[in-house]
Amino acid sequence: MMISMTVCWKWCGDERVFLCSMSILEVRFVGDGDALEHMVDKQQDVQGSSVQRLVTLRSEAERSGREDEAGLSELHYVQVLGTDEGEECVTAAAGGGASVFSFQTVKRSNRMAQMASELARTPTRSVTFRTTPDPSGPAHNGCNVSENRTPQKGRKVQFVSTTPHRLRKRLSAPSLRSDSDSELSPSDSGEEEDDEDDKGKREEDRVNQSSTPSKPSATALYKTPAKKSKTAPEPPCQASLVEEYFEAHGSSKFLTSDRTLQRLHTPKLDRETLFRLLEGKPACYSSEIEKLHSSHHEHFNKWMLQLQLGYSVLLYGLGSKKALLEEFRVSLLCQEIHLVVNGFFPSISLKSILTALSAEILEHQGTFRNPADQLQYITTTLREQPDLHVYLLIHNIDGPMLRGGKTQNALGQLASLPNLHLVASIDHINAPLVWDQCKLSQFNWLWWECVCFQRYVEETSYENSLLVQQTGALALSSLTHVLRSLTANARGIFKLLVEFQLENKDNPSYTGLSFQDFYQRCREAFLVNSDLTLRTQLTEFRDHKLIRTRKGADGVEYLLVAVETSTLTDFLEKEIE
Amino acid sequence: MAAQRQHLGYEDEKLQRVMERLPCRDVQASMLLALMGEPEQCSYPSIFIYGHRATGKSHVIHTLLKELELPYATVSCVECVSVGLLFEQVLLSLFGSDSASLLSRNPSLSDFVRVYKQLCVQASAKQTRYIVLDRAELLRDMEANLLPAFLRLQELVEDNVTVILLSEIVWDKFRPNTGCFEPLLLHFPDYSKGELQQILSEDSHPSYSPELYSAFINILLGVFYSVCRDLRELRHLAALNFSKFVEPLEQGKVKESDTHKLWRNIEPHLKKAMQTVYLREVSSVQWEQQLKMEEKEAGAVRGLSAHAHVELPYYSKFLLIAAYLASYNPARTDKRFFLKHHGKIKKTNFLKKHEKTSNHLLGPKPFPLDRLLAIFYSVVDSRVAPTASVFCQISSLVTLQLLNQVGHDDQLDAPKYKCAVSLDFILAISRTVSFDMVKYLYDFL
Repeated sequence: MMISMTVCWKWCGDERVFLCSMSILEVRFVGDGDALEHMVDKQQDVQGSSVQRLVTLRSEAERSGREDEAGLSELHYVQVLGTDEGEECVTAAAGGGASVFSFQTVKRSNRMAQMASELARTPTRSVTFRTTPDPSGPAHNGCNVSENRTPQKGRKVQFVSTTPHRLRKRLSAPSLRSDSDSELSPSDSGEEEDDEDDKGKREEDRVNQSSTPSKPSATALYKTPAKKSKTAPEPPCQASLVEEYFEAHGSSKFLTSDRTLQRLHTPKLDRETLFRLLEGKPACYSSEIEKLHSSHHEHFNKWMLQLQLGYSVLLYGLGSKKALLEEFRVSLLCQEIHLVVNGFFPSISLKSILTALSAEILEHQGTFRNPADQLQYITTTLREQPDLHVYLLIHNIDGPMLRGGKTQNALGQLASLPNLHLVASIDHINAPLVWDQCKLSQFNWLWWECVCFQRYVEETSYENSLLVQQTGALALSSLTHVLRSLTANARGIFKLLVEFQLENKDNPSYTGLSFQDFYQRCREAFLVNSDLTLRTQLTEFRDHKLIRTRKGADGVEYLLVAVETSTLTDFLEKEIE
Repeated sequence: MAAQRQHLGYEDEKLQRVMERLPCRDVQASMLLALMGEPEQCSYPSIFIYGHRATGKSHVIHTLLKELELPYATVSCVECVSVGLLFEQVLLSLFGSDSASLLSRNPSLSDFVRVYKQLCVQASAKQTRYIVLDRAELLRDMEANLLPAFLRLQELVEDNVTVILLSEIVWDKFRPNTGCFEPLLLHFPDYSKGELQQILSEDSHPSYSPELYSAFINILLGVFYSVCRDLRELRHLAALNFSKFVEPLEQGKVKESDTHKLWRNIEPHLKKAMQTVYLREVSSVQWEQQLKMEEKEAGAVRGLSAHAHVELPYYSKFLLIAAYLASYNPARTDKRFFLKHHGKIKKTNFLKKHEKTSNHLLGPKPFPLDRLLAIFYSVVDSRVAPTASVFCQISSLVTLQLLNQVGHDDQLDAPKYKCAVSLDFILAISRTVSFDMVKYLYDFL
């Protein structure tokens, strides 16, 4: 370990004032390799840039004993150095004492490299920024930076040491503007750029919001910020959006974002922390939202009438419509027989809906061979009893487990019954793709726009977010979601394991499939060609928490699928479909 | 050969009658007879007969078994969707009508063997029993133990039973992984042109001489032999076209011996038949009625494939056009076709990258929903709101099989589609909305 200290001065134009903003100084432990890199960087910088001066101090022998010394002496040291150069050094905001004294090392040098490359490419633009003297600049930076820079520095160091060279090179390229807002630059020019960027982004957001539903997903996927900010000020008409799509997709090379999870301070939160963090956030415009909410209440009676007339009510719009439907249920359906289906629930299936209808409402004992039989029974029973009115409330009829063609077909058959009334909500932007003309005619929808602006609290609580650590067993939807992204062979391997486990589900002494045994089975099914491939695959499963391994008494690895048996059965059924 | 047949234990005239009914299949029939041996003798457990379509496999077996009055059961595996049906049919035809009631509702193979044994004890066999399984290739799709069990059924039921499997597929494709009892393989070769001529000439028209019919068959084979060697197909064509052939004779224009004139008369007609009735464009009834009786010009009737025009809603047409463009144009060319100011993409250096094979030969490529919508918005002149009905029309096109959804795993998030219509179809549609399709297709640049 060694200390590499870099002090950065900013050279502000003709006044020849050397500004040394103390708050951006930082002591840091850097690995040898990294330090070497910076050395090279800086030398290039010094040669490349004409308007910036950079003093690099590296004297290992001197520094090694100084780690524990107070910052004040370092300040002195710096000041001495500064005066040694024969130039004034304005120390800004030195009140913080030792805590303020931090030497900006890696990040600054990188920034310098970036500036240098920028200068080398577009000299005029950068030079104009730099040469204009801005007295407010240093003070502004001083107070601004001291608060929020330190965490980012840490991130920066981590970033430099982990990302491959190629990515770093791309990062320092000036065209990739998206990086600039994370990298607080001390100069005003940087701030201005950021402002511009923000403005551009706001423009984009506005465009995206007013645009066609399919567009935002398309534009957001492959972000090319430089182009976007150019096209953003155009009026948001359809033609330009189409052109934007083709612009974004025209080139074969897609830029991937460098904002990986590793760059975050705390890469993964658990659910409790997340909720705690979110709780403190006050809701904006709560009174307006409340007003909007109550305006929807006026339609309740209309909906009820329309349900009686044989229509189904479909709610769409921004925000969670669960509360609204709940209020509808409480105010009007309390006296009626009704069934609430949570479509967002990841383990819901058509079978569970049909069973709830047949067992709870129609009070049928016994089992059915298949869902078609069950549906047949429900339709005939409901037709025989025209006085029995059943209300079916489905939150998120486009939920991940309900969007299948067969499920929607069955729901459509239910909805076409005269004494079964359906109220549903959709949230997915492509939700109408679920229904073709045939299904639409069965459902007989009346579309109601209900923009609620409520948070999707319950709907997203099951979602498999990257930012949140997974808790507990996998649900069916996340299981299928993970497996969909795998190759056919990997799915086959997993299916083999699942089938074996289901065969042994009644055996309490079942400890799992041994690796050798599993390898044999996979070989027989031509799923893997070597021991190593299977191990790689198993590692992948383990990463996704699909399987668990356990060392047996005989030292052999035993493999278990860490998912509930009922979920596995559902999964296999779905796979066969 | 006659000497060979005598010691088989069958009556001589019966054998004679059988052989008369099996023209050009003497070798195969005598081989089968030799294998079957005398009725009381134990025969080989399983025989596998293969050959092309219409080479007389079923016919030879059925004629032999029927004429020699042997106990046999014929089961078509196409009809037997479940194993239970197959067992039931076998038992019914071997042991009479009340035998099948012994089987349980969902019988397994062991049930079948048990019931068979039980019935076998009651009515023990004096002669070899035969089980003929037609279209045996479907046995492979049933339970895995079925085919090996049928191959050694003789051992399992301890009865003098022979299983005959008929198939168009060679035995190598049948063999299970774990191996099985190997059946005797018997190949039925194709009929040669001479044999076809001989067989077809047999069913001559009663009011005309056999020579005339034979000449007609000769002409027919001259036209059709290069495309069709299927006996049944040829026989059907012969029956359809004979009345046209003899038309000049009926009108008294030519004599029977004037084959050249008859040939001149029928030859273009047969060629037309090849394009229409042979491809089932025009049904046989239509062909007979309209073309013969009303003296209409053949080909005036529109065939099935001429009805390719489908009426679609306006936006559906454009969605289909957009899907076709997305399927057959490479994505990197989109900028050039759909961007107004695509800048410096020149046609010449654009074409340098041209692939050797055209996209129309390679078939449609999948495309995401976003691209479909983007192309759709750019080809439709007016401003289209992305309403639910547009999305539903996409789904409806999938239901109508004009589009295909690729990879059924993701229905909403980023569905991919393929266009499943032909160029002619899409050209016709684009003409109705006056859209210049060819201008936008990369292959026709």
